[in-house]
Amino acid sequence: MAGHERHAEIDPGSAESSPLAAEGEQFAFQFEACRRELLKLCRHILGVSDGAEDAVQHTYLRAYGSRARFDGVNFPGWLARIAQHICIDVLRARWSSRELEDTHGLATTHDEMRVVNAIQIRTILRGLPEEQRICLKLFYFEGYSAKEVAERTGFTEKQVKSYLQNGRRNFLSAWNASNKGTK
Amino acid sequence: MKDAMSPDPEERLFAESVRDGVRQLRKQRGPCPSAEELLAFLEGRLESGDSTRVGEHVDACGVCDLALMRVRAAVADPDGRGLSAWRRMSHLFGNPLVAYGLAALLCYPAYVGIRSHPEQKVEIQPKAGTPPGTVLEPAVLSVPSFSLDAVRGAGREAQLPVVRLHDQNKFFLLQFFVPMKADHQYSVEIRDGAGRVTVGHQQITGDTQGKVALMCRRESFAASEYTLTVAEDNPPGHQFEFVFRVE
Repeated sequence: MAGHERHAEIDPGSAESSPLAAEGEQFAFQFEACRRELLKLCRHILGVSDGAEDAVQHTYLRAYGSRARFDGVNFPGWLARIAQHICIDVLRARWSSRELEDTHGLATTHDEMRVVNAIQIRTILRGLPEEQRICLKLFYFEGYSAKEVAERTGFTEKQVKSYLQNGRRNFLSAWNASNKGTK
Repeated sequence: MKDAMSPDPEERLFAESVRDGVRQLRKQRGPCPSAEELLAFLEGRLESGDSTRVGEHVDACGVCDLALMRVRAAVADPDGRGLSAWRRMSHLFGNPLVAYGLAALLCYPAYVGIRSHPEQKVEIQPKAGTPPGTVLEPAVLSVPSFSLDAVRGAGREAQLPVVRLHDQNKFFLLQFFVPMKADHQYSVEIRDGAGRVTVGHQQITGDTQGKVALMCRRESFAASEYTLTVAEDNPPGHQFEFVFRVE
């Protein structure tokens, strides 16, 4: 069982009959009972194919290392929380921080210029559908291409382009509407 | 900004419109909160000030927003059913191989149905001793039957018996009665309304009481009025006439 192997790595050389080994066995046994649900959770957060198994193993290691802090109330819930932390870290690790490219000197005429300020952007983005909002942010705030967004989110490139296109349209509609409202 | 290089003028215009605001938001957002803090924000466990700070960061950070969306979805729908199941299905059927495969799978039964539609054949058990390969006719054939006796000798004024046939009727039976004598021979002839011979001079026999039945082929009878004449041939004698109409 994978959990047992991990335990052996964490606690090498311990005698099988020692209380520590027995505790490890007990922990591994309890963990195995939750493994399926944890794998489902990690797959859901990370996407079906990407590193869910690894995230579960990391969950085991981290949970075992911090087992002293477990309050003894809800073992599956505690494991799920650790798994969520790990998945968030894994998700974030896929995205390195990028500087946005300079865009001065674009070929747009002054008449076409629309300047949307930070508060408006934040407000309008909050009102957009989730997928559109996230694709717009990853594209415009983080500087990733549609292809890169697709690779890291699990959406197809076509979907990302569609979310971007619809997101831009909805964003501008909302912006126009808010401008009319203030006039 | 990456999007600024897009050839689409609308996209470039959009990028330029939001450029300054995006830069400002990026500058203000600060470092990403820890996973613990993000989860606490999601669950509403943060103090007001911290919640505002994390919320403003999430507003300006695609990565944290994505992480929150994923965790929220996983907690709300732990089995991955609902919308995500539909999404998986749409991904599956979006694959051209799957879609074409499914279409081919559905077309095959239709193709087989079209190819094997011809008329049903009656299973016939061969008699003992029948040489193999012999083509056998069915032992029983159900055909519509029409009696011409109602107008025997009544002339054209009476209502004509009508032979109404469906497309699937390949044969029909005409029955009538003539006073046959045992030592005489009889023949039949049928002409259509224009006087053309449809069935020319065929010998017939009847039962001991003079009942005659003729099996007629449907395709030989177009819609018309017909006159069936039974003649005593040998020795020559009476003629009996029956008129009917085929529709």
